[in-house]
Amino acid sequence: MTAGAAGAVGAGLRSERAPVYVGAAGIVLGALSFWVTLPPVTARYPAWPIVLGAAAAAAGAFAAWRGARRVGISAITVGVLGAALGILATHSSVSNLVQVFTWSSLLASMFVFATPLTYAAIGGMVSERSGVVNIGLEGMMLMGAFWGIYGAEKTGSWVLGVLIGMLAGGLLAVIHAYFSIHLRADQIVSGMGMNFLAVGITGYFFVQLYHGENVGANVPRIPDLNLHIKDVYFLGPTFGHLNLMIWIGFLVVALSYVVVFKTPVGLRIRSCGEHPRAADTVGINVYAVRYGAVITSGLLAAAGGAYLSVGFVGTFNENMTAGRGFIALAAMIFGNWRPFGAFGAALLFGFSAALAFKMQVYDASLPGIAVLINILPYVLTLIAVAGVIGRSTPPAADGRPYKKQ
Amino acid sequence: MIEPGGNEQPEAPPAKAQLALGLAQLQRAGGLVTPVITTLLAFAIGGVVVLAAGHDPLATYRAIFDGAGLNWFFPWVTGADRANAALNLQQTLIITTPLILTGLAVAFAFRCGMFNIGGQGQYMVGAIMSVWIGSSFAGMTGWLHILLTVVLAMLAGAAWAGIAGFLKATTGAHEVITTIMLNWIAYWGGSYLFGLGGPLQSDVRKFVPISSDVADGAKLPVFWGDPQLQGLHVGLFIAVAALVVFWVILSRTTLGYQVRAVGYNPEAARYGGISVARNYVVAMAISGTFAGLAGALDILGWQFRLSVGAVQVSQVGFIGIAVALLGRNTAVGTFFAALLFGALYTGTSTRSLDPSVFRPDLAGSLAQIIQGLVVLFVGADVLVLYVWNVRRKLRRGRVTPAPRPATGAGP
Amino acid sequence: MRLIRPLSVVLVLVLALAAAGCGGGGGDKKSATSTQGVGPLRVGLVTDTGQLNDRGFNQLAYQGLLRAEKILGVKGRVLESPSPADYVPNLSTLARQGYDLVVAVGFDQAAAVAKAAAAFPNTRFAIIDVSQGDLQDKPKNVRGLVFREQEAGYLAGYAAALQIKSTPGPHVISTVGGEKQPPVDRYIAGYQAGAKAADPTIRLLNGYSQDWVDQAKCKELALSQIAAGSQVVFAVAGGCGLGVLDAAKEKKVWAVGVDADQGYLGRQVLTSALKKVDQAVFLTIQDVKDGTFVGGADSVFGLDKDGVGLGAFSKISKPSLPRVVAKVRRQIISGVIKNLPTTVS
Repeated sequence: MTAGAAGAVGAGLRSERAPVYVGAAGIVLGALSFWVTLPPVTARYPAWPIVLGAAAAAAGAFAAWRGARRVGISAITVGVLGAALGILATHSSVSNLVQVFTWSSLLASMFVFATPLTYAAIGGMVSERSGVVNIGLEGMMLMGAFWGIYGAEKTGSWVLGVLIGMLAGGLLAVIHAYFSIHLRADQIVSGMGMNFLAVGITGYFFVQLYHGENVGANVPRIPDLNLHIKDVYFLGPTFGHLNLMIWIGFLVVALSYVVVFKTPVGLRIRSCGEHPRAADTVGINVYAVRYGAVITSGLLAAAGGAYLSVGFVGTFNENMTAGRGFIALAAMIFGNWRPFGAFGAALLFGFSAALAFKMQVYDASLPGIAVLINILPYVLTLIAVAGVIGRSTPPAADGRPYKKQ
Repeated sequence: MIEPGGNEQPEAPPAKAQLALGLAQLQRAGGLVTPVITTLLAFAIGGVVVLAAGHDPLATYRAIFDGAGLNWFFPWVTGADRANAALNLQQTLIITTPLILTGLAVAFAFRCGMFNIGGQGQYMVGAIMSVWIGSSFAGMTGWLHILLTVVLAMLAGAAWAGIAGFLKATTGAHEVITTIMLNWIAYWGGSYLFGLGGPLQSDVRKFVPISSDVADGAKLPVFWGDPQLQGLHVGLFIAVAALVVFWVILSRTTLGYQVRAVGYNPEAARYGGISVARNYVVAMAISGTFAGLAGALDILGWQFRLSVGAVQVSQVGFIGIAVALLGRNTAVGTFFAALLFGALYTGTSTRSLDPSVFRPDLAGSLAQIIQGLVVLFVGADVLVLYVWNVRRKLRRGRVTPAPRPATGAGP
Repeated sequence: MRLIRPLSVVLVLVLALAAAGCGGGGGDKKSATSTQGVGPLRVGLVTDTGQLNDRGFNQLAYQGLLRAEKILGVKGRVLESPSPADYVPNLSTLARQGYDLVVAVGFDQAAAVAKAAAAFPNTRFAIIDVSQGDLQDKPKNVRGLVFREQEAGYLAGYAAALQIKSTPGPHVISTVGGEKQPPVDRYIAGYQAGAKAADPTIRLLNGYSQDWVDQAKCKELALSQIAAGSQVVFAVAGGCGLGVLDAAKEKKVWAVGVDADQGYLGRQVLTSALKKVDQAVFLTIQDVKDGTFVGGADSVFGLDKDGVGLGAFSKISKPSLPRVVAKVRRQIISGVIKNLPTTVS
């Protein structure tokens, strides 16, 4: 029996896809080596992370040796990193760990930070899938944030506020679309121009309309969705009281997947992004499709910004988005221009931001750690964009203006 | 004044669309007319904004012009006004100095086909290194200390940008993303280093999140204005020299040729035997060198210290992007673009702008709107060239040719 | 040849601009010499890079200036500094124009003030949050305006601990600071000491948002402290701190405002720890007007001079709080309670 099993394993190991699976298993083991030292498992012997990490590295080495280099190297990295973090965790007190890794509040926090990124990343994905690079997501988000809260305050309704914010982002997107599609300008340059313009416009009108005062204290806010599951273990505190826009964000991700990858509309969009000449020959109006995609990206990014102001914070400050649009761009690339990938990346960034806040509890023992932890999401992106994902494959005609013949 | 190696003015082309397409995409360099027209257009639209806000655009622009000290160049301005203009011009040129360099940083990378948004991080890394080296070695001879600091700052900037170049060369990681991430890492790194208890926090003033001061011997000499009151330092000349170096490298060296070849068409360059990967790394490194130099000149010229607040509020690297774009990635263009944005900054400051002409707190945003418009229109040189060509054709009585089917592959 | 057309257009435009500019020298109010002591007193304020709408010291100082304009009849002018490069030019512009008092805000400007004071020894300077003794060469024409934030923090902490003392379960309060800096840490240290004095078993949490503006960050930090059990969150983070107040409202716990009375933002604001920068600026201007301004030393603003204090209590707070806190206040002023900590361990 064992000989047969060994034979089967041996045959399995020699198959084509084996190295990739082994490497993937290595990544899982590496993540596990850290996870076991955290609540609720909270293993206290360093032996655990060391063993699991070593197993991960071994699996990775095997995978790399057998040809699945990228997965293999990732597994080794994750294994070493996980083991190191796991060992660190065993040195920390259990109460500190419990305080930091209250998973439910950590995850709820993660969703809050990730949602603006999600909207913008999905928007960026739609635009780039049609072939137009949109670096101006940051500017469109900012427009949504300002005009959203202004609209909510003036109309007394958060729905109208969000819609007005989205409209503002859409208008900016129209300008970007015009310059990129009709005038065939450099799309990255045009996008940067959008960002400068948005900062200037929102700054100008913030002073002009509010005279340096704060936005009123009673702006109608986007409500939370109360699921009445507070007492359900883990799911209750995590999902029970999330903002409506967060849930809509989940819907947007799913919807974008269906539309872009499963419908004729999506096929048109993607063909304009891969081979606009061919799409044109078949009778697709490339200009119209691209316009639509860019405007959609503006609407979505602005919705993300509106969530930030009308949903989460309840007010506006100058340059409120503070670089989130660029992180959304990174999330999109990280996710390889696919909706669930971008969503996953946005969650990763949200998680590291949430963790950064929680880690403050260690600041007394390691001064400055609270500041340094802020670097985490950016380092993660670097590693991901460079290592794990490697050469990212954008749509073939991404960034190239198209001229109709 | 067309820069050698840049783009010539276009002939009235039969396939003007193809040429414009090429200009807009492949070359990203050259020409003088376009940026001038672009700037005028942006100012015109800015003027409309000012008008809509209920103010006089001409008076506003004149006030900004005076506030930047540019009226110092007019010989009929005398006496107290001239003294004032001198002070304003000194400040304008102090701001222009790092903008020239961060503009060059972006421009150099563009010539290699890369978009270096990381000028801010590279500047900051250079500044941090300058503060560190400049405040250590207190006994060192002046010029040696300055030299050491500047060189190390340039190397720091080169290394920081080189990371992005290396990642692009080896893994194909897009430099827009990597440089943005590196910006933030530099931002938080600086906040950590100068925060309370941080490694580079002042030994003297232990309770504020600020660095040590740069040693007196390492400060750059001031050649115009009061050295005690932030006069204009010789860093300006170093920045202008960097412009020359930029031009020389790109148009007179093999390295520059290779960089430009990769920028035009990486595939063709590779086919021609040029190592694309190596050029990515080298181009980014040189790009970072310029930005790091900007950091050094600012620290040794007028800043003399860094605080966490200063790290977080700095925007020099980002404005450098607009400078490079407006300057069409050429040396001469970068100089004038840097001067323009420096003048916009000082001209709209609260101390210069008369509140009855235009509200100072709005003026900053106005300057940013103009900046955005400039960047936008620069990217659309197709528009400008189209208008330019059509006008010329009408004057010569030529008929606009019918569009021809595209010959050859697109970009 | 082709260049002549556009270049000539540009040239014409430049000349036109210049012609427009040469008439009357631009009607500027910035003549370099100005008479001192004739007409109303002129007071200038130079903000730091946080600028006017930081909902913090810059704004408060400005309010003090406005009050002085109204009550004392001085003429005020505010110069904003978007970048550190503006500090020295702003300060020297005001000094050059013969302003009677130049007020600078924040430690970031300390070096610039030292330089300006040395270059203009006849101009009076005041700097907020910096001791004159910390300035290079200890210039004799500068007065430092320093505050005993720890006293205000102590009162706030005491009130907070009292408010939740009768609630069941463990008592936890927390603070959200902007950055680890002396003014912030003085507040926090006082708050923690005051809370411990009222309730020795109380647990204290602390965190820094590393941001003065982004309210989302402060809200997140506050939410995570509330999730860890905090019942009163003290915001010491300028404009960012408003996010803390919002988090408290959302989770129905208490919040304490800072610097100015933030009670108008909601009933969840138990009270506010006040740092009366506006009062300090007003008093300093008054000194100049009365001729009693003395440079080369510090004005220390504590509870005794009404330089710091506590704002109004929330309508739904315990009715006994004002009386009890007033007693503690008297004890601090009289010295019964002393040696309040100023640093956070």
